Amino acid sequence: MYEENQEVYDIETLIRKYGNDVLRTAYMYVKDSHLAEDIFQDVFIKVNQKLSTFQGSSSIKTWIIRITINTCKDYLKSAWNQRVSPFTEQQENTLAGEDDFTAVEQKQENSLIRQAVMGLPDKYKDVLMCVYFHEMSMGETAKALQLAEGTVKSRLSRAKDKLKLSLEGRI
Amino acid sequence: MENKNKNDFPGGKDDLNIKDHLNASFDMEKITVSEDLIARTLKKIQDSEVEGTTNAEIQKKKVIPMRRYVSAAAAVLLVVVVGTALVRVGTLNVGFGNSKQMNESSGSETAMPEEETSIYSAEGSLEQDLSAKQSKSDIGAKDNGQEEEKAALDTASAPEEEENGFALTQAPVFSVLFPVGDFADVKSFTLTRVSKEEKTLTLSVDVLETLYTLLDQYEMTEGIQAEDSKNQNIQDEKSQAEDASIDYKAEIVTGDDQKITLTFAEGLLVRQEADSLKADYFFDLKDWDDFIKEVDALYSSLE
Repeated sequence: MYEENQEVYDIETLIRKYGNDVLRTAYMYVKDSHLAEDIFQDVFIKVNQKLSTFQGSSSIKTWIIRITINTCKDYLKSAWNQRVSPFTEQQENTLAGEDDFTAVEQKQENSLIRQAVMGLPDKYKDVLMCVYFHEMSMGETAKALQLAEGTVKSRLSRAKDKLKLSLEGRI
Repeated sequence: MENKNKNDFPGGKDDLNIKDHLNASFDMEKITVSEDLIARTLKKIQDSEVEGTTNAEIQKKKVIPMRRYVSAAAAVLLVVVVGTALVRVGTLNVGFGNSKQMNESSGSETAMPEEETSIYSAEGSLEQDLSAKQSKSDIGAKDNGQEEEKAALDTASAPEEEENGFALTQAPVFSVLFPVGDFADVKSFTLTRVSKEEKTLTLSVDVLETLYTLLDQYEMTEGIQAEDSKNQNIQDEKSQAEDASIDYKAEIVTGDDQKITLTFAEGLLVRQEADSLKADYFFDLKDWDDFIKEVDALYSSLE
């Protein structure tokens, strides 16, 4: 359980504690490790700037992940990135996936699942990442994504169905 | 956050072990937070803090825009210009006062240009009306001419009414208000003593010039003015009522056939006539008694 105290609010501590969650979440959206690092830096700059305004109504992790998802979406909304990014990461992912595919079966499965999740529409990916990757409760997910809990549940159910459908026969 | 069994999620079991697969995949591709990334991020945070502090300081300083300096300079300039203009006006008034005194002593017609303009514009209008009337014989035309004259005379007196500063310092000068042109061209001049046994003297222009000089030496203030010849009946009644106190009457016919009648009766009533046009003016004279004594002396010297 996350404890809200002065030590946690130190930015370096937050980076070390939640850095991987932020970086990997960002990667799931922007699909590029360099871009994910840029997002990572932006996220923690925002966290540092807005830390004093954090009310504590949700956990600090939920708050940081919410900032991360919003930052990723803002990035993806820009016309430039909408034109350029998808092509770049698709190529990289394909190349990396091919390497892994020929190496180990486990690696292949990991990669397939990751690509399947990354290929989901954002609204399903949001819920799936929050609930299964960040292990948030429905309420926390609803707060992080500013959705009703019922919406979170229904989207999670559809996200799983889509994921299974896309992986069917491959693993 | 609650620790959850990976197969016990509220939205249903994580059958695919998504978290484990994703983390394994990220680990394999080394998508993890490195010390270098942390260091770079902390440096960026520090830079953003410094930048934020600098921006805040700049905002606190609130550099006064150049526009404000320009506005302030313009305001100061405006005050200086207005002040200078006021000083100049004051100086002109003083100058005019001196000039007027000189004019009064010399009896010449070189007083305040503005006054000259006023009275000459009235005279000019009168002349224009006269020439216009000579070509027109119908009554309607006369009425129009009277209206024009009235308008011109009103215009002549308007600046004094509007500019109180001038009005206070510029007493009317008789020879400027009622010029006869060149004294040599005056066709006739008579002076009648009414107060005692009535006697009319036909006099030379030299005497007229002396009378004008005398009138210029006394300060005049404009009294109630009969508006135009339409009010002539009223004026006549007034004159008749005042007959008992009339001291002298002077009649002047100028070279251009204007008739100027001066009635001295506890004040100066001036009637300007040209053709059928009439305009009456009434002035109070300061030191009236002294003035009338001087007229008495003049008249006595001419008998």
